[in-house]
Amino acid sequence: MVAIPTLLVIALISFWLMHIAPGGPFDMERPMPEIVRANIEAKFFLNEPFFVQFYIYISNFVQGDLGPSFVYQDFTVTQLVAQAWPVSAVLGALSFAIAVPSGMLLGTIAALNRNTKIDYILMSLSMTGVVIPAFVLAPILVTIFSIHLGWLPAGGWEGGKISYLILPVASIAIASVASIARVMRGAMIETLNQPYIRTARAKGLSTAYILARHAMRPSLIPIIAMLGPSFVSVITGSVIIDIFFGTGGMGQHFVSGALNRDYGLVMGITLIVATLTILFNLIVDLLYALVDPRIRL
Amino acid sequence: MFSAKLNEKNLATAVSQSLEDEVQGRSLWQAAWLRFKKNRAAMTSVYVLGFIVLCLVFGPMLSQFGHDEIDWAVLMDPYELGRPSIASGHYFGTDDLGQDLFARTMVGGRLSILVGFMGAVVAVIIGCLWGSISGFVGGTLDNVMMRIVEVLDSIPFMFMVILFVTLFGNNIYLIFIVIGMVSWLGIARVVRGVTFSLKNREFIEAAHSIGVSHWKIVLRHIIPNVLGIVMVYASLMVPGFIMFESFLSFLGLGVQPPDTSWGVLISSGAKTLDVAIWQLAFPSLFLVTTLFCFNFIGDGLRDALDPKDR
Repeated sequence: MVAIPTLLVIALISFWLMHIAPGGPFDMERPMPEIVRANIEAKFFLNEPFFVQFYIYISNFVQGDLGPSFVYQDFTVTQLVAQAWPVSAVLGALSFAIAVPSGMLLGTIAALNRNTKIDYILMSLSMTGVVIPAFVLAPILVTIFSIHLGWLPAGGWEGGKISYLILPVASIAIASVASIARVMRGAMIETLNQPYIRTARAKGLSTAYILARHAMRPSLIPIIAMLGPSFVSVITGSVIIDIFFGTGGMGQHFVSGALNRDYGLVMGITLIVATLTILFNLIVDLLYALVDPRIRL
Repeated sequence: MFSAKLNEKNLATAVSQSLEDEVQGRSLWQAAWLRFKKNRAAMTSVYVLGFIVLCLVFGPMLSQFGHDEIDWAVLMDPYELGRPSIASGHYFGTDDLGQDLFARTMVGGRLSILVGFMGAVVAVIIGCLWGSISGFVGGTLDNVMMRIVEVLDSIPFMFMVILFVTLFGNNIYLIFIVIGMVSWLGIARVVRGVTFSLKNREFIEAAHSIGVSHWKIVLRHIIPNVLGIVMVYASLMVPGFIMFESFLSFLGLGVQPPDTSWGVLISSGAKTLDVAIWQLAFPSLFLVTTLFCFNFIGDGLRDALDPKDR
């Protein structure tokens, strides 16, 4: 329920930031005639009061019109986003789909073999995964797999061919896998220490059955709490990956927009990401209730 | 029989130990320090981090080149002449412009770590005050303050910060104050929770009864009691900020030349990794080691200070 006011607040803040930022889109070295300027400003409603402008922007946003890009003259922001969106969606969804189950699996394995070699190896690997940023990992992967071994292409998109997907997805997913595995291990160890698990063992149930039937669900709660942050880290990761691999996703537009001071583009993407994040948090809240019936929404 | 005897002996030592404890007395912080010292990973990290900090402080003095000084002799062929070597004085090699990478890594590291701490300090100050006031006063104010935290929490702050950078230029310190200001939310929540449970304890009541002002109760009695948990939080935030600074600099939005940071160095190193791997390797090594240390220290602090584990 907080979702819509939150989104409005974000929009208002970013719109206001854009408003007070120095320089306008039509400031040039040679000032244009007053009348021309007034006409242009009227066309983009720049002569209206702040809140009227905001209202116009929001009502256009709701209808899917994000306004013009200030730098890419022939495109609207909506067109730019529409081009980049599928790439980001594929990369993000794939990384997420890989990161969550494999993180959970590794965490569970580590918890089951607590304080053995397997646990230590898995946990030091995951610590490594947590601390190596995507922008260090991606070059390392490229050096190994593209330059020395020559197995995979070093960049590009090519309509999303699988060989072009592997390295970007791996670079995004590894950090999430690692952090999810760490949380899962902690949660699983705590669950396995509960008396009802001992009871289940005493009844002679197999480990697999205990895991699936009794231990998995309570351990999922911290993982669900992690989903929000790891969604954000996937988005963050994909910004880096877009730049490094030149995949042409939203991240590339976002950063080039930021570097070119293309306010319209940056603001449009900020709003889209904010919307996605808020939507995602909403889904996470629903998942909580699904996993733990004691939680009421 | 034998085991009973053993138990008796254990009991005896335990009793004598507890007597000693009573004589000596162990504060919360001493106990935590003892636990922390036992954590080998954390202690090693402290030493390694100390070493890195020493390097960053004194390293540039050992270098024969300034961090923004161009070695014209190397400039002809930086990929051959700029290799790491003791003989040429470029211990870590040079970058494409013939600038000494050893000096740059050290100078860049200062900025990276400083910025991490600055962000954490800002976040801790705001988070502590916000959380303790909210928890201490309670009622409507608490409600309003916590709603604000909730709204702010669902803002994807990385994008907000980049928007901010876009609009107001990239003064790195400004950026980090901004980051600190948007990342105090977790701390505020935790502090509020602890304050809530402290509020009705006897020592607070005693303070009230002798007429200590509310402000002073918050500052002198509430905040010292939440510092432990806040320290854990903050120690895990520092690596996050260091990484974020590197991330911004990698995108070209952070530090601007002639200043440098690990993120900047990694970013330029990543472009030449097929011909000059050292340009990527040394800054990355320092960054990753530092992040490792902070994470281990944070984990160690959590184990040492978290009352749940005792």
